[in-house]
Amino acid sequence: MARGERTVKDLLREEYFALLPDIRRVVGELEAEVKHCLLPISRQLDKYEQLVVTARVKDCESAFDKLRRRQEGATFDPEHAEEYTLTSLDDLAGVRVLAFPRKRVLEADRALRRQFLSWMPDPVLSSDDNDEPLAFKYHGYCKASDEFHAEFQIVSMLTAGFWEVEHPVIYKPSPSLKGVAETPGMKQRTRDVLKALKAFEDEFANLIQRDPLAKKKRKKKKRKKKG
Amino acid sequence: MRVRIQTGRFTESKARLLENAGYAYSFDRQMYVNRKAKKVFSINFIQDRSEDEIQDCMKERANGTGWHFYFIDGPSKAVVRELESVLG
Repeated sequence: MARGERTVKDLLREEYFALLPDIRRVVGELEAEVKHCLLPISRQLDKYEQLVVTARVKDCESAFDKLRRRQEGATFDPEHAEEYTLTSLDDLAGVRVLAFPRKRVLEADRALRRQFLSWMPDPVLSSDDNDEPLAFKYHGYCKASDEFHAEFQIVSMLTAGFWEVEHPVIYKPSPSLKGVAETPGMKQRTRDVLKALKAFEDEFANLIQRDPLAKKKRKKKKRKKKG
Repeated sequence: MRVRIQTGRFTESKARLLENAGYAYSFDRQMYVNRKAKKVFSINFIQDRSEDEIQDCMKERANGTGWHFYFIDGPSKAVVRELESVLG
């Protein structure tokens, strides 16, 4: 590389900071819209149920790294530095809806799908093709910017909790851990954990469904709502 | 912007095949590396090819003393330089 020539990283960092004010605006807009859309569900939550909305701006390093990993050999071609753009990422601005139990995940998904009709679904599929997706994910444009897509996802709170621990191992591994997460053994254990979390949710849903007192409560709540 | 679309599958049997032949996975670069054979397989290549094709590539005699890269799109000289500097 000639002296003074700018690296792919330099160019992408510059692009990131030029986009940052817009990314922040998009995050604010999307978070507000999602929360507003979920208000009817939030109001009906039982004591044991949870619906949490979080929002984040993807940091510069993660954005750079994600784009790099999309290239074959996870390496940018310095001779085509100008061709790379962070606007090709769908999650510079992201909102996550965490819900428990599973039926609230499905309700939130239905409500948001109705609200964001033009957004592209991109579900995180489970390793078992017959299972429901692990998370419902959508991306599209917000009013605050038409330069890049924003993303929102709806995920079970238990799965999200596991991902909080697992993702940094997979996506930001320390040198000593590199490769560990991708080994067949670790992949199998990850599948086992996700299966166990789902089994917990299913069992919980069954118990609640069978609980006669909970049924009474639900009826009372419905009557109250109608009245 | 060139985005690779991965259509094939990276099966556990392909991973075992490579690991049994002395290849280790580099998470950071998403490729299998064998320092002794001086060969590198990108994940995209592994997904794209059958086990037999991968095995044939592993058996291929390397030309010269440099690294040999098995990529779907043969890497450009600049990418090879960068990867060689990482691989040492």
